[in-house]
Amino acid sequence: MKSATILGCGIVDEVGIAGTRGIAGKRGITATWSELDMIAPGTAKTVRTVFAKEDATFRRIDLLARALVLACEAADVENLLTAEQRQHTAICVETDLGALATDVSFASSLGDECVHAGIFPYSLTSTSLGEVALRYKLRGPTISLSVRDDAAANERDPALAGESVRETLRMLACGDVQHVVCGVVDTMLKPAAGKPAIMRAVVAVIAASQGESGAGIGTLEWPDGKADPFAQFVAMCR
Amino acid sequence: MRRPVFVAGRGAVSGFGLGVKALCDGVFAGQTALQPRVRTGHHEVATTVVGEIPAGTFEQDIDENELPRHASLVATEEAFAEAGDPDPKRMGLVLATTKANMSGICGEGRGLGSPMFLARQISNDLNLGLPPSALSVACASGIIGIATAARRIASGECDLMLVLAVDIINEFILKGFGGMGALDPERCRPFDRERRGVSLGDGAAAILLSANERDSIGIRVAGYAGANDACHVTGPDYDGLGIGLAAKRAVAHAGLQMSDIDLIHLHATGTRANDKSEAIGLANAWSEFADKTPPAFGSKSQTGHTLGAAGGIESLLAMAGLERRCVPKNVGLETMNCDERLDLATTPRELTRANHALKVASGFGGVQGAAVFSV
Repeated sequence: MKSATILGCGIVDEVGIAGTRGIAGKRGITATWSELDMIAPGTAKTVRTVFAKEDATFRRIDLLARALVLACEAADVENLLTAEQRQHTAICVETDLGALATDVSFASSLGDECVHAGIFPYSLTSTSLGEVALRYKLRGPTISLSVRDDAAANERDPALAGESVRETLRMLACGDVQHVVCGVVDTMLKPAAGKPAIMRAVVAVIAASQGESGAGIGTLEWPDGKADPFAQFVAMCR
Repeated sequence: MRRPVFVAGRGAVSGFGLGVKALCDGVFAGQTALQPRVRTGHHEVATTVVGEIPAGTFEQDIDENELPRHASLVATEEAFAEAGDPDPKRMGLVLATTKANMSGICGEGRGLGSPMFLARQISNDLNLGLPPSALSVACASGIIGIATAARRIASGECDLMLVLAVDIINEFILKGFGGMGALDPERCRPFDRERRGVSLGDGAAAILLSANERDSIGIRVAGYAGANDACHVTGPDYDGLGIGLAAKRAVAHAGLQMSDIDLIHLHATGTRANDKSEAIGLANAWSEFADKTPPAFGSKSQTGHTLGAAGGIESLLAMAGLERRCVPKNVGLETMNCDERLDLATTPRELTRANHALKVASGFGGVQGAAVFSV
């Protein structure tokens, strides 16, 4: 399978939050951080203000997880997929930096009498995907992919980017799952370990076949190794 | 249409030293590689033992941050030898790890804990012809790595895939688990009434997969699947729903019934929560078919928990169970206080039937993975 159906998308970046369906129930509406008077990737108040939802643990989760959760809200994961479909839905997300910000923060405590044990689990990128899984009850396979080729040189090999899209298409082609929440996430508020600050979470809900309504919003193609494979999702949201 | 996936070669470096034979002989003989800490001995953490790669295993001293790369290459050499030196130009790589090379975060260097950084290094070292993939799904990385590589073959994308599952214990990891209160002060005792937590260990496993039956060592990756507990990011579902789901999905993926499985290699960390929920989840998965699960064993009381490598190292042990037609004893288990429908051997047990082995794994983020190996 070299293509699949895009059911919905959501993005969080340094500008704000945007989605194809989710925000305030209107298609394509964007909430900017400036309008919200908040700093990306928001607080529990963000979830309440933008999505009219309560999320009791949002303030305790790491930045990667916050960005992913907001992007999933913007994509309207909860309503695009039925509860039964979500029991089998995979999460497949790629990252350049992984949990670098958490790694640096935790490492800075290694010489202390007490390490920052509370953040240690978030040094594993799968933990952030788990925060998404538990909120939407996504009980399919969970895969966190690393795509940075040269971690210290700020180089990005376009042939490696989009691995989450390729893996999504493989899973669908093999019939292993019928739906995947696919995307990319990188968040770092301040430069660290020679890396610049970044704020980006892009997710798309992908189906092997068209959605319940019979119409997806686009077609996911096998990445050509040249263009940013997530640009089409961003374009759909804004 | 999925193509079949065959195991073509295997390699390992572990607390038992070099090689799959040393690993399997040690585990099946009931020995343990958990020893007083040496390389990591200067770190102040609340445990006396780790399953370190023994000093002197490699010809030269290797910097700790370079050990993941070096151990991976040594394990690969063994796997390639078993496979009869396959053509690397036709081969892709899936690297599975939790923290990879930590240089740049802990000490000087460029690793920054990036799995892809390490994958690209190894891919270049081996002159592999296809682009590498790298994943990190905590302690389920190894088993998810096998599934990811197998899928690449099953989908027809390529014919040869090398899976490397690797992690080396360091201060970052020791103090992380120590800070969470998850370490057993002494050797861990999975499923025992007195268990107090996990013991950690170094590990690198290489498993070469092929689309061609003529490359096979007589074992197939018959099925694989994933699931998520979707209830907590560090603790398990107390009903073991996720691990049971992954097991059932993997068995179905293999086209088998639960009653076809002849042995299980468990995740078996030694934490109170993991072992309890794993026992319940697997027991429930078999409850429609039998009063007890097939004979089951864990090996983290012998190798230590090798984190991202565990799914790889322990898949090698599951395959060895099929080849040796035997389930080794669960070292450290004296009095079980988990769901007794999980059939845990306290002495080595010969198998009257050894066709299909199930390997399960769990990781932070609620991640669950399972694979079925068949002869």
